[in-house]
Amino acid sequence: MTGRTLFRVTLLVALAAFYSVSAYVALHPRVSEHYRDYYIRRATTDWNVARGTARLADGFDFASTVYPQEVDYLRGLSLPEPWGRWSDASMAPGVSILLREPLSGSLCLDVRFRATPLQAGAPVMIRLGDQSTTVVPSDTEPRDYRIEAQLPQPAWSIDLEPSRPAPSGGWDPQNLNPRRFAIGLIRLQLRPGPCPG
Amino acid sequence: MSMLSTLYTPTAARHDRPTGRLDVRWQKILVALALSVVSEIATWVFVRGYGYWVLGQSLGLRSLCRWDCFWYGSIVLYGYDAVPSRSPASDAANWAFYPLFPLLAGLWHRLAGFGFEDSLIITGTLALPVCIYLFIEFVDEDDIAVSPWVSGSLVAFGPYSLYARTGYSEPVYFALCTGALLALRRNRWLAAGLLAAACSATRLVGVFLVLPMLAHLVGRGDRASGPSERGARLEPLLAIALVPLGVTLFGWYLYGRSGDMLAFAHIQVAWGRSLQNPLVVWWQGVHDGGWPRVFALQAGLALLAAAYLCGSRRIGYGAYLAAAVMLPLCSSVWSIPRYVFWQPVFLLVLADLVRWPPLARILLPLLWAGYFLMIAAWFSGQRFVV
Repeated sequence: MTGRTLFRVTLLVALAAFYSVSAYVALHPRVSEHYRDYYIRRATTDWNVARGTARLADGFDFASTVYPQEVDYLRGLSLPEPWGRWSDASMAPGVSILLREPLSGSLCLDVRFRATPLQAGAPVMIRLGDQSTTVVPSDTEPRDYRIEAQLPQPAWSIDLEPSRPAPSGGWDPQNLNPRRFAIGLIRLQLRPGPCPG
Repeated sequence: MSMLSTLYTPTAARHDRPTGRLDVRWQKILVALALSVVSEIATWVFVRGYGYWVLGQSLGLRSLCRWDCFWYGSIVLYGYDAVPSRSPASDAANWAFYPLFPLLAGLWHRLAGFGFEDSLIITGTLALPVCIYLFIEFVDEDDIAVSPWVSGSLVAFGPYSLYARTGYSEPVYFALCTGALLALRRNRWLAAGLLAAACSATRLVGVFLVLPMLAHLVGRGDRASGPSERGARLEPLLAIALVPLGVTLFGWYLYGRSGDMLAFAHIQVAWGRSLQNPLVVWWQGVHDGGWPRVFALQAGLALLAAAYLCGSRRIGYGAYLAAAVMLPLCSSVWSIPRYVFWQPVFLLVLADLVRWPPLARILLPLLWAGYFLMIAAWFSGQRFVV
């Protein structure tokens, strides 16, 4: 093997190693969860979030683009509409309200949402940290659900996991929206302490 | 029309001895310079006239720096952003703009003290005669019998040639890409690999130059299979391996800035672009009508041109053109013309077509008219030209 050939072989091996390391690094970005959700997974439409003075205890209308102080961003929800926001399983399998401050202790969660025709009659799991409960929307009308939780461990998100996300063509052949809807979130309120009797 | 009907035999031109005082290469260089100067003057006159009579403004060549020119300007002035914070939604960053063009423009800015607009426009303007000259050589190398004036004018006066004067990266990309293909054609593998690497640091589609290189490697068969040429067999592989180096180094730089090596692709979300099925995007463009339909048809024409190249045994060029069109089709039809009209292999097909004088008499005036219409559209803020 001549010196020139050896040089070329070395260069080829070095380039192959360089590209292998580059591919690994490209697939393992060193970024925040929010960046990952917005730019890479495209699981959220929130980047530059506007927050008001209200807190979750005052209630959070999903039609609003101004979030309560504790909310970091929303995952798995499409853009706001005048009544609220649809979940979109093409963005994320479930809906998450990610928080800037952890939840702990005794809490009372009130959530109002509607369901699509396919989701009506099927379970929706609502999770706060390691505690979860399942509710079943009876129809497509907006309904209120109340969950009481006692959290021994801090929780950084409120999650809702519908079981029957589907494109709107599934119940309305005229509407071929590619988003995969299941529930439409309208309002959420989270108060410390047990739920009032 | 005497220019169009000039009998020109490129193979003969390459091998004949110089006629008169100028040899063939110098003739091509002079043609390239002359077309560049004519294009510069024509553009200046049109811009001044359009500004004065239509818009009631005093416009100059500097006024052509708009839209992406400002993004490149942000790189020349401040470098790449550390976090996305531009645009009304604060989610855009200049990561989508590849580094070689603003790096070259930055030299003018730093060494000569020019403003960012002038630096970017001068870089593109100076790249234009290089583009024209290399394309004339490229057409000759392919034995397409058209006059250098005609082949050169396809570059200088195409409908989207405007981008050579607007502070966009297209002319630098075109020059590097044509240079790489020319070097490949002449079996100068390392030169082709290095130019292609620079090309991939100018626009992402540059990485697809691996396709004509692979096709050339396969096409040359076992010509270099002798024992004494074992080392020479490695040269094409090395050249092909060099192609993604430009974009990979850019990725590493962005990794240092943002923690995301693919930030140049991920940032597209700020412009509402997501990865989709190109057939669906194409069909949606046809279905939407208006400009999207025009762009979808242009993409279709470019794919037909790619098929023509494959059919005429230029499979590498065809694959390259198809890949270069399919990449933007994965997100939107809006930027298709830039990907089509600034591809040397697409212009090669046009050069092939204008060999026939009747077709040339229709096509060339249409292309030239398109050039001036696009300048007018540029100043009237039409989205289709951005």
